[in-house]
Amino acid sequence: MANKKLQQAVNEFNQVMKPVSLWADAWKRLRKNKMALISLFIVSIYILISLFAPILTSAGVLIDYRKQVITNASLPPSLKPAGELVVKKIEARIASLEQRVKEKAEEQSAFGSFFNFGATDQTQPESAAEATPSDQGDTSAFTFTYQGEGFSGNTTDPVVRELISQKETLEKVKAELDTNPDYKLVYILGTDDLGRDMFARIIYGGRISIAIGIVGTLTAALVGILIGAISGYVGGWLDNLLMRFVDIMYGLPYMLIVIIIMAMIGEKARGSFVVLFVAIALVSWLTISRVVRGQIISLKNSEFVEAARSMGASSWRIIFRHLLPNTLGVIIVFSTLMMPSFIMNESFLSFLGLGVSAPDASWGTLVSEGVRAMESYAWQLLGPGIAMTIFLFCMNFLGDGLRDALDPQSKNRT
Amino acid sequence: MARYFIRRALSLIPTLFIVITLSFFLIRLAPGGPFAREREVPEAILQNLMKRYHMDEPLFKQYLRYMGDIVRWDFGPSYRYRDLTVNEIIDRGLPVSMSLGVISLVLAAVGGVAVGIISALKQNKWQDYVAVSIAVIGISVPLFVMGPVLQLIFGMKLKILPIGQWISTHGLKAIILPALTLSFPYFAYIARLSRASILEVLRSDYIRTARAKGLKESVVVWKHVLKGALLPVVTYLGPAFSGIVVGSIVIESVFLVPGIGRPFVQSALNRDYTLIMAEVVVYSIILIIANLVVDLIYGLLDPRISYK
Amino acid sequence: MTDEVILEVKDLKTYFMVDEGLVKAVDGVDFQLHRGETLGIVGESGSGKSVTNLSIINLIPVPPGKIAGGQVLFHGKDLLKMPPHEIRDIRGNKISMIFQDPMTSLNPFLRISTQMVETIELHQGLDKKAAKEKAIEMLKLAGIPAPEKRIDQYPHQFSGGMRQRVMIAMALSCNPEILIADEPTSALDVTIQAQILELMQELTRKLGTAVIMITHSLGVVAGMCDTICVMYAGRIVERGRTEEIFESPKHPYTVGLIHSVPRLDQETKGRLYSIPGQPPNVIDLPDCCPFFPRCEKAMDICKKKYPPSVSFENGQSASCWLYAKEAQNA
Repeated sequence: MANKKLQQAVNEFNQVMKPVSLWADAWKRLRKNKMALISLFIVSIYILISLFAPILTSAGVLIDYRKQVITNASLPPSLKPAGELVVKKIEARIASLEQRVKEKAEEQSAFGSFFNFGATDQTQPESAAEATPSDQGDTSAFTFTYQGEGFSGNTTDPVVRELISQKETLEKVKAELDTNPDYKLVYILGTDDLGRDMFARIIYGGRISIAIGIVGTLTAALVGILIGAISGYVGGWLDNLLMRFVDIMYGLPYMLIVIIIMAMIGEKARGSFVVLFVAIALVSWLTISRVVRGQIISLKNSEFVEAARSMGASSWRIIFRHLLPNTLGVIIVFSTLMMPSFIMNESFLSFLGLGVSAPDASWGTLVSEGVRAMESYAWQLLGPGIAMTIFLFCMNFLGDGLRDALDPQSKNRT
Repeated sequence: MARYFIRRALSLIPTLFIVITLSFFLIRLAPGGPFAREREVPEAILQNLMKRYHMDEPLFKQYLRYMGDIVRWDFGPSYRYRDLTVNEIIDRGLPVSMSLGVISLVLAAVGGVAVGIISALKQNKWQDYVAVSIAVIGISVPLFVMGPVLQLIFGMKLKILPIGQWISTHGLKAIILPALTLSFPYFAYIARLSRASILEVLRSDYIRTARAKGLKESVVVWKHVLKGALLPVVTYLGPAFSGIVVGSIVIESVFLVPGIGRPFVQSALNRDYTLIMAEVVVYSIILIIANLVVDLIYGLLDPRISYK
Repeated sequence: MTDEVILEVKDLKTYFMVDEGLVKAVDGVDFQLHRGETLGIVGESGSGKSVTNLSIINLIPVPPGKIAGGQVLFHGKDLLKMPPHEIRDIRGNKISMIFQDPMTSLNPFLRISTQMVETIELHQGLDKKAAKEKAIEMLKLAGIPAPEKRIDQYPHQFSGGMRQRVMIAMALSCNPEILIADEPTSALDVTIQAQILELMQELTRKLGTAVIMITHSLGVVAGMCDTICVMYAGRIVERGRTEEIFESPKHPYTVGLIHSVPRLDQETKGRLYSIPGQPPNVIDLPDCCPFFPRCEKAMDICKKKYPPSVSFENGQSASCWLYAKEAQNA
C-alpha cells in the first residue's frame, strides 16, 4: 500500500490523469506569459528594496535620504564621485559668469569712459582670480583684468562678486576633494536642490507609495468584499439600499470631492496617512463590492450551495467557505488592478500638495518638486517619474496576466 | 423615449443636490475662513466683510440664500479676487476648459477605437504587440508625469510646441500638448477595451453564422462586428469624461491653460467659498449632462434597449 | 432521395492543438450524401459531430484548429482546397448551415431584414427591394405570421421557436442543395421542437434540399432521417438506413444507444438502462477501439487496434471487431 501515493491515476486507456486544481492550472498559464513574469520579478524587486531600505541605509549601501549636503545640490546622475561633479558644476558656473562679465566689459569699452565704474588702478594681477584691494576705505573697489584686456569691474557688481566667491569655493572644494567624505559619495540618480540623494529619495518615496497602495487596496478590498457579500447574499431591502448608495456614490465626481476634502482639512490632519487612506479608499471599495455582489448572486442559487444548505450549513458558513473561495479569483484580479489606481490617486493628491506632507515624500511629491526644476535639472523629474511609471506598468501587466491566468474566458477583460 | 430621458434627467437632480449641499457644508465647516490667511484685518473691517458676504448669518440661512442664488445662476463675488465676480471668472474659463475636455475626449475615442481595431484584426502580430504596449504605458504613466515630460521634450528641448497658455496667445498649436496629454490614458484604455471587445465578438456565434452565409471577411467585420463591439466603449465614455474633467485640473496647472480647472485647488486652499462652490456646481452639471448624453447615445445604438 | 451523390466526405481529419495536447476531434470520417437525402449524424457531446460539419464548409477557426487531411468533394470539387472567394460562393448559397442556439446565432444589433437581405443580395444578385420581397416570402413559408411587419424587427423581439424559423428561412432563401443543421432543436422546448422539425421536413422536401442533421437524440433521427451515421470519439462507428439500424443495430454502441431510450411499451423492470462509463478524453488516444471500456462485448484485440469497417449486404456498415473477426473467420 506504500505505493498508493506514487501511483498516478491512469484511466482505462492508460492515459495519465493529472489532477488539475484551479491554482495549479492558473500558475501554469501564468508561467507562459513572459511579460507577466518579468513584471512579477520587477515588482518583487521594488517591494524587496522598499522593505530593506532602512537596513541598506544603516549598512551604508544606501545614502540616507534625509541627508542634505548643500554643496552637493542639484548634481546630475553619474557614476563619478560627487566631488568631481561639484567641481565641474562650479567651473561651469564660473565660465558662464566670466562670459557675462566679458560681455559687460565689451559693452563698457564700446561706450568708452562714459561709464565710470569707480577708481581704476591698472595693476596686472598674476591670475585672473587674484584681485588687489585698494585702500580706499569701505568702497572696496577691486580691479579685475580679463585675459589681458583691461577693464574694471567693481565688486558692487553682483556678477563680479559672485564670480569671485565661486572661485573661492572652487579652491576650497578642490582642496577638500580627498578629505571630505561627502565628496566621495556617488549619486547614481543625482541630487535634488538640497543635496539629497535622488535614488534614496525615490526608494523612500516608493516605500510610502507602495505601502499606501498595499494597505489601501487591502482595506478597500475587505470593505468591498464584506459589503458586496452581505448585500448579494441577503438580498432584499438591504441589497437595494446598499446598491442605491453605491450608485449615488458612483455618480458623484468623487475625486473632486476628495480634493476638496483634502484641501479643507488643516495642515496637520492632512499629513496623517489615515486620512489619506480613508479619502481614497472611500471610493475604491465600490467596484469590488459590485463585482463580489454580482458573483455571489450568480453563485447563490447554484447547485452546490443548495447542496450545502440541504446539509444544514449556516449562512455565514456558506458565505465564507463556499461562495467566497469561488470569487477569490476575481477578487485577486481586481485587487491587483486596484493597487496601481490607488497609487495613482494618492500621487495625484500629493502632486497637488494635498497628499502626504513634508518631510515625508511619496512619488507624487517628488514629481511635483521635479517639475519645478525640470528645465535645468531634468533628472529630478525623470528619476521619480520613470521609477513610478515602471512600477505601475509592471503592476498593470501583472494584473492582466493574473486575469488571463485565473479567468481566461472572463467577460471583464479589457 | 423623450419621456425616459426627462425622467432620467430629473432623477439626477437629487445627486446634484447632494453634491452641492455636501460641498457647501464641508467647505463652511472646514477650519479657517476666507480671510484667515490675510494680514491682520482690523476687527471693524472684518465685521464689515462678514456682513457683506452674509457670513454673520446662521449657517442654514446662508445655505438657503446660496441655493436661491444658484438657481438664478448667480455665484456671487469672489472672496479672493475682489474685483471680479465668480460669474466672470467662470464665463472666461468655462469655454476654455470645455474645448480642452471635448477635444481630448474625441481624440481618445477616435484614436482608441482605431488602434483597437487594428490591434484586434492583426492579433498577435507586431502591430498588436506595439499597440498593446503603448496602451499599457498609457494607463501607467500618470498625467502629471506625462505632461511635464512632454513639455520638457517638445517645449524646452526641441522647442517646437508652445508649452503653455492658450489659443489667444499662441495660436492653435497651444492645444496640442495639453490635449494629447489629457487624452492619452483614456485613448489607451479605449484601445484595450475595443480590442478585447472586438476579439470577443469575433468569437461569437452570430459571427460564425455571418461567415457561414458566405459574407466577405471585411463585410463581417465592418457590418456585423463593430456595432456590437463598440457598445462597451460608448459606456466607457461617461467615466472617461469624468476622468478628463478631474485630470484637467492638473493639466491646466501644468500647461497654464486659463480654464476653470486651474483655480480649483487654490480656491479650496484659499477658502474662496464662492469660487470653489461655483466650480463644484459647474463640474457636477457638466458631468451629469455628459452621462446623460452617453446614455442617450447608447440607447440609440443598442436595439435591445427599450424605453417603455 | 436520388442516387446522385452530391457530397462525398473522404477520410476527413480535423485536429485541434490545445494546451494539454492534440485533440483529434475528427479522425477519419467518410460518408456520402445523395441529392434530396436526409442524413442524420448521431453521437454524444464530444463525439466530433459539430466539428465534422464545420469542416465541410471550412469554418474551423485556424489557430487552434486545423484540417489535417481528407477531402470534401462537392460535385467532385474538393471544398477544402478551394480558394476563399470560391468557397464563399458556396456558403449560404449551395450549402447552408443553421446552428443550435438561435438567440446567439442571429446578430442582435441588426434587423432581420438586413441579415436576410444581405445573403440574397450577395448570392442571387437581386436588388434590395426584390431581395426583401424574397425574404418576406421565405418568412411566410417558414410560418412567421405578418412577415412584412416582422421582418423589420430585431432578433430579441422574436421567441425562441420563431427565431429558429427565421434561421431556417434565412438558410433556405437561396435554395441551397444541402442544408446542414447542427442540433437545431436542442435549445428549444419540446413542443416547439416537433413544430420546427416538421417545418424542416416540409420545406426541404418541397425544395429538394439534402439535409445533414446533427443530433444526440435518436427520436429526432427516427422521425426525420433516411440514413444515419453514428459517431464516437471522432469516427463513424456505424452507418446505414434508419429502419435497418433501428431494427438490427450492429455496433455495441448503437445497441446501447437504442437501449437507453426508455420505451412506453415495455414493462418497467428495475433500472433504466444507460451505457456505463464516460465518453473518452480524445487527447492522445492510443490505437484501440475507443469504445472498449464501456463495451460489454469487448475482446482483447479491441484494446490494441482500431477495427476496420465491415459492410453488410443491406448497405449497413460498422467498425467493430465482432464482425471483422467473423468476416476473418468466415
